[in-house]
Amino acid sequence: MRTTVLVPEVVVVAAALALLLGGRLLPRRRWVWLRLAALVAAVAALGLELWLGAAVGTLFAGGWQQDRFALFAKAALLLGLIVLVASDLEAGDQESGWSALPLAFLAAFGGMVAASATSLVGLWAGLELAALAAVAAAGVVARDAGSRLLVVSAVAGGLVAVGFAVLYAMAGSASLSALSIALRPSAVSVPLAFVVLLTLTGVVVRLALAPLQLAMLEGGGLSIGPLAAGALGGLLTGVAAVVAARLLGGLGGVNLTWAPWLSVVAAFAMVFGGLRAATSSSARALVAWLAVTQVGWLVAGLAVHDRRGSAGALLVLGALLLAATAAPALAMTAEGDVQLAGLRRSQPARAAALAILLLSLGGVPPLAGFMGQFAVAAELIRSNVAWVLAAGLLGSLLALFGVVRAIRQVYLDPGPEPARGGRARAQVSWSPVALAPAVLVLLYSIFANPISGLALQGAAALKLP
Amino acid sequence: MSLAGLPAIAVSLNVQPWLAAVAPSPSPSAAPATFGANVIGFSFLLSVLVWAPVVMAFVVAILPEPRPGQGRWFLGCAFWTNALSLLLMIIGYTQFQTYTSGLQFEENLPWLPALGISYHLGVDGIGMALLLLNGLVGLAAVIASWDVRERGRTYFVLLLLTQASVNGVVVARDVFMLLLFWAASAVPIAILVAGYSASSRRSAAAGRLLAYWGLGTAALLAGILLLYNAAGSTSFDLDTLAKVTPSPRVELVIAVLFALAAATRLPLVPFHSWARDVLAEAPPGVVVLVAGTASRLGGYVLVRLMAGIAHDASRTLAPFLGALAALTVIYAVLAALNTNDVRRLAAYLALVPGGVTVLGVAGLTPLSLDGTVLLLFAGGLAAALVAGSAATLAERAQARNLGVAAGLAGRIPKLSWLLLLGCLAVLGLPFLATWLSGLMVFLGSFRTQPGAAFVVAIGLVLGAAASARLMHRVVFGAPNPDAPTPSDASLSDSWYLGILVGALLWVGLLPSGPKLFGIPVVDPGLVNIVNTSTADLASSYATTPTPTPSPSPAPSPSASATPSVSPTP
Repeated sequence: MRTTVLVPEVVVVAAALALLLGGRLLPRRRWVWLRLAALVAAVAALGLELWLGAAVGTLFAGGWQQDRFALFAKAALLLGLIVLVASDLEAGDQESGWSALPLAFLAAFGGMVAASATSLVGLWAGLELAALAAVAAAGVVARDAGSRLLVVSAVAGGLVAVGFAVLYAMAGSASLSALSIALRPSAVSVPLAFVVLLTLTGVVVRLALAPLQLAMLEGGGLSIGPLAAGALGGLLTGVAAVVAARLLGGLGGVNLTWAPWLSVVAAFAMVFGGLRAATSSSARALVAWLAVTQVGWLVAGLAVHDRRGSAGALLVLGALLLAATAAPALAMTAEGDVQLAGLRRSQPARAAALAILLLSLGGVPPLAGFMGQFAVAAELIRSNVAWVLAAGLLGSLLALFGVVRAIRQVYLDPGPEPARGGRARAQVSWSPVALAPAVLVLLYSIFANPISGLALQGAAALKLP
Repeated sequence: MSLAGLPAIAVSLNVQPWLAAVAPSPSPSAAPATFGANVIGFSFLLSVLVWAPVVMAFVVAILPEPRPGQGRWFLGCAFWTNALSLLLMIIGYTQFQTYTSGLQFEENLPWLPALGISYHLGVDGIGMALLLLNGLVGLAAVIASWDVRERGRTYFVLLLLTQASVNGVVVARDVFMLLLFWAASAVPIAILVAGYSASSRRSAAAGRLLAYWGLGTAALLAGILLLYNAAGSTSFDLDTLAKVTPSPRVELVIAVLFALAAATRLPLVPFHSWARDVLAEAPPGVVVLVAGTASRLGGYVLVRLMAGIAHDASRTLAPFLGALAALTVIYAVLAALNTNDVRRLAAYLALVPGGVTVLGVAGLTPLSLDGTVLLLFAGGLAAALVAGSAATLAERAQARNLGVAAGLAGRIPKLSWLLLLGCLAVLGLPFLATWLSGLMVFLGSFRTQPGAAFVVAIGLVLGAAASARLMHRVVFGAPNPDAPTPSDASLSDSWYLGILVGALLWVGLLPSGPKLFGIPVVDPGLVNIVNTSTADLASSYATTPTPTPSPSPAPSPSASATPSVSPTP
């Protein structure tokens, strides 16, 4: 396999460094060009990934692999990065958001590393890089929030690190393929059970706690800015999902032992997220709780532990990355929460995009979120875990209340009285950039066929039954 | 359909000659083609009917803000979209080949082959009837919204999206797509109710609607997934799923889930409270759309999915469905007798056709199923008429209490008579479409569900009393001198209610379509359109005579076929 397959990773890292340097060297009025350059770099990385990443093989003596799972995961992460950068352009947070942009690129790079990892070391490195970058992105905006996130992040990272270390000790190798051979279902013992529980807890904390934390922060009045919120609630969640999928693939048959536990976690996330979404008053908190609900669906798909279940989870992952990275930026401005009432009048593009993203996160057909949830639901029935499906449907139903309330505010509540005359007309913002994430969500639904095919191939690459 | 299966009750009621005129001829070859049929061919008729409203909704959403005085732009877009859609539906209806089983105007493209999902659209007679209903009610709903000026853009976008999703449910032949459109209709309607109802109860009404419809969607999804699983997780195509034979237990669960989905949408008691609130609080356009088409989808799912797929389970559930139908009708009329709010009264009366529809499904005979599908069409029109006219009357009279809005016949005669007609249409006034379809339901279901049919008939008598009370107070009572001055129906009100009345009369008077020298002209007849599909459906429930050992060498077949009871509906 040729090393050209690494070009997208190189582009992402180079873009991160260039953005860091550019932020220091260029005057502030030129930063908009840097943001545009960031968008171009992200789009180029995605294009290169789709072009070069189609090759299948390994590098570095098997330490790096490019398979269909890696291709799907990286493409999804880069898509998430693109919508994050695009929505940052729309949010226009000139001051605080700037330093978070290179960190978002680094978070995406961490995800790319994890997607191609063949060992526990690679998974851990990718996950921690992404987590650190996302937490740092929050910390540069709001220190209090950053320090709170850092504590939780350290706990989750510690759990994962200890779990990985003991797994390595028990299997005698850090390689995922060796792990699946050494840890046969018959070898499940109390120490192994404890270790796997520890590890999965760490990953799940990373997976679900990122948006959960975001919601708690927003609820507590700690705003971390649109970019950091997207990086934390979208990108980091995506990276954790990639790690979870890879790890569950590596754990092989042992996973079946843990399926009920994962199912409980999934059901809890779906119902709790839906319940909080139905009652949240802030747009940002609504986005975060909807993301928690989607994470529940994702974990439910992984808990099924077969190709089709994991493929459904990957479909959810793509939809989640698209919506959860962009929605926070659209739900907030530099001053704080966006005013939903009357948003249709003042910023029609943002209103439409936010509505579509919320509907997708809420799993309303025929948008991207629904496609993934439906694929997972079909597998839940096939696997005779109808109670998880029931929990998921309850969660989605509850979430729908929050979504409808928000859309009603956006489109039907009058909002502040517009000023009369020509100036009022000039204040209406019709930025096409804001529509980019919504268009991508729509395209995800329209091209669900090739995407679901790629997701199936990705799940097959995990060597699940 | 053959008249051989009609029970003796038809003979005793002396309606058989009339039914013979209504019922389609038994032989396909004997039926002459409609004049002008098959002149125009469509490749994408159904896609156009589903997606044109979506495209127009998008266009309306991005149109620049109109200048003052041009506020009707959005209404115009919605009106012409619906008018052209109705025109296409009517052309499709006239081109529909009667006496041909199978799908017409079919489109089938692979969409998600990995999951067995295809973009499969098509209509049979049942779908065609519902599609025509959607077209008529959709146009009526837009005209009923003539006075919506404030936030008109959002209103008409949501209205168009609702119509597209309702059309999508009817024409979908892939249950994934059916579910997709079914679920997609809930959000725009909820926002319409929450945003455009005048009363303070609008949030509660929208919340109830979302809760019940969400429950129904969840039940439908679970049922579909169970069916998909039983089919080996290979296809969501309705034709494939119809051939699946799951275990009796699973089939029963699937049927219960489909019935639950239908009960939340139609609605049936005890899943009805959303309908009471929405029909009593929403603006007339939304009321017409919800009562006329969106709620009829429940009956459609009952016929198409439950009765069409889960045959044995449908037989098992039939008595329960009959009981639910009876409960719904009795509850609705008693509640109507007990309320003093004209809109609530009409909302309760609008539940009656749904109950009778379910009675037809519970009957599971060729005649009752035929009547059920016709009643989906006629009941939708009648429910829209009674709820819409009550909403408009309350708006024009500036009062909704029976004590205040009293004695209006002399002051607003048009609306008063239209309300009266709506009440009578719900109860099945002769020569309206509801009478014909209701009669078929009763005649068909008395044989298999005599108890439920009897109770529903009692309910209709009580419904007549509720209507009489309404008329006595609102229309013919003494005017209230303290009441605000009412104004009669505007031109748009007359038109939208007139469309509903006209369709009810047309199908009621000419169920087999007009004929010139024995050749159907323009309209092939709704009964003929519906018949072949319902006959196919009913063939699964045809009772095969069981040979019973008897000492008598030649038992009389007529004696065994004749039911011993002959109640009068």
